[in-house]
Amino acid sequence: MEQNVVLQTILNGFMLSFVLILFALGLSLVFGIMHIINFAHGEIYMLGGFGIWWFYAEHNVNFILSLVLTMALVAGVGVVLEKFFYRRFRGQLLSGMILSVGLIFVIQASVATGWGFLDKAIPTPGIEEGVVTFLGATISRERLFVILMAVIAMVGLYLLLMRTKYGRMMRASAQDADAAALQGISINAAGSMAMSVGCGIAAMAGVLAGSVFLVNPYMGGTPLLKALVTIILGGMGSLPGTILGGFIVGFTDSFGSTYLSSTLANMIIFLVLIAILVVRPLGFFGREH
Amino acid sequence: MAVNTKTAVMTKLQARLSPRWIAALVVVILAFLLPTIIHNDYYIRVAITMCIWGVLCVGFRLMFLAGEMNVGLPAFMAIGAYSGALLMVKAHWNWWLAVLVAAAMPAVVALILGRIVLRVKGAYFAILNFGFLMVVRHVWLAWPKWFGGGAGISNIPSPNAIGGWHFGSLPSFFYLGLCLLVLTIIVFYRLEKSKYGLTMKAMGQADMLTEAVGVNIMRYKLAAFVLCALFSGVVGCYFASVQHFIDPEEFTFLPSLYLVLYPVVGGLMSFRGPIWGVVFLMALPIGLKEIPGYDPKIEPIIFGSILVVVMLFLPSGLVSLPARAMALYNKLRKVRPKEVEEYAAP
Repeated sequence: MEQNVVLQTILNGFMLSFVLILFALGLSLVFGIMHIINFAHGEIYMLGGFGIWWFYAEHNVNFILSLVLTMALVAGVGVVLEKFFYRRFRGQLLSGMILSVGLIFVIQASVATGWGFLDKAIPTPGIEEGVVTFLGATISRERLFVILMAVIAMVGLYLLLMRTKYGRMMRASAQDADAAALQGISINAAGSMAMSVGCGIAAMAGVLAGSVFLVNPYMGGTPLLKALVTIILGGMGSLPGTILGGFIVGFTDSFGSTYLSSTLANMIIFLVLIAILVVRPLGFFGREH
Repeated sequence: MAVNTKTAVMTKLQARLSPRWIAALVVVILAFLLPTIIHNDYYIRVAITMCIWGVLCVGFRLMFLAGEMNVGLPAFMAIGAYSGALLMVKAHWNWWLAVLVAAAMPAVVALILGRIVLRVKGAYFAILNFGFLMVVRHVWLAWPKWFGGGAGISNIPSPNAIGGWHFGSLPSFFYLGLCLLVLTIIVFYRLEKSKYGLTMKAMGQADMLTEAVGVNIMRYKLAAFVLCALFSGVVGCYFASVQHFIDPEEFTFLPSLYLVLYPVVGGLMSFRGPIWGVVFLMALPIGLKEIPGYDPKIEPIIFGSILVVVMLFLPSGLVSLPARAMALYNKLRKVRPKEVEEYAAP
């Protein structure tokens, strides 16, 4: 029984971490290239949840197709945000933050007026409801599905960043924008790409969270705070740091919620952050910008 | 010698009687006359909320001088509100004693927390404050026996009568709030125009340089952090009394977003900007309600759009509009333009 609970908590921790990492990677990617923290990232995630609800639950589109459509649309939103708003604030952290606060209000209220602010449920995609017993632990099929999808997304993102020309472009701009520009890389194009990729995977996180939990216009706030803690823990702009931070926050959340309470878990996450910042003010892999 | 003193007094008097001072005095007097002109309860309530937000936004500017966004003020407001409310409801304290504790508690918390969170700056600092906000909200939820949990604390009394002044009616609350706001404005204005304020501005422009000439940045920022927490605590206690009820959802992520919205729209580059931002954005819904078919749900869309437009095209905020209009007018008349306050990103 005891081992059962531990295993379940671990699996749950993996699920929470993966969704959080998908969310935070976009934030980190955009920060690395544009030096802006997009506070409206939580709203992007919410748009992902609403996209899957609209396509899949309301209009019975095939799940994979709705996922792709949602990601593409939200990535488009990201490009628009970058082009018209964030581009001119590149490198200005506080101004970018203030601007994104305005965007939070606009996006949240638009969705709330358009689709209402009540919780919306999304049926479990493609697989029957139920649980799988694994080494004595029971876990619902939908949570396993989320873990699987998140792993696929992360591998895809890894390949995109490490194996393609575009990934190299983005990494170069993040490392040294001026040197990259001298090599003929357009910093605007890199920023635009980072926004579209970041928003696309945040939308995927929203889709996955939406298929386990519920969707409402205010769902972005809590993940945003957790993701901010995550990217600070790992060091702003560092992708490996974000993944490490995501595991720390996700597992603290999972174990804290199981053995204490979810409110205490939230407090512990913040205390962990403070403890680590006292030792390493720039996070694990952070460097001075 | 006597002549010198006389000229000194004269220049001081002249400084006091500058158009700026007279304008401020007129605005304050008009504000005090407000309840005698307007008898609508709803408008008075809006005015009370303006006072509360005015205090917070004036405080927000002090840290912004040093380039920091102190978005955690609602958390300190919550600490003030809860400590004041608990003392009054459970221990039946006098309001005026409770408000002292409500001021002291957040200040002490800020003194301890500040030493840690002020080690980082800029976005890191803002994010840590958001985190602190989250933690404080969960504190109220985690121990329902003490703090009332999600149901909050109700039946919070009005301030006790003092010297023949009775509190409880809306206008009396408004006068109290306005006094609080005026006090805050005086304290923070004097601070900003003093050497302390100048040092804070220097830190906002070049913190390394300021540190290099021997300024203890931590001490300066910590003083501002504690002072803002203190005023937020007082305003929190006042807020609890006005509402007679508080719950954890009043002090969440959303108020801290409004704390950014109001000052920026008004104009963070000047002292009066945040105050006018609060007044304008709070009065706006009153005007919008008059439009037939207006849905209050789209209010955040309007607020957010105003914020985005201000950030993109009017970085010194709405208070810079008259100067801009004047500059445009002079330009059209081919007169040499007067200086316009320019926005410099910290």
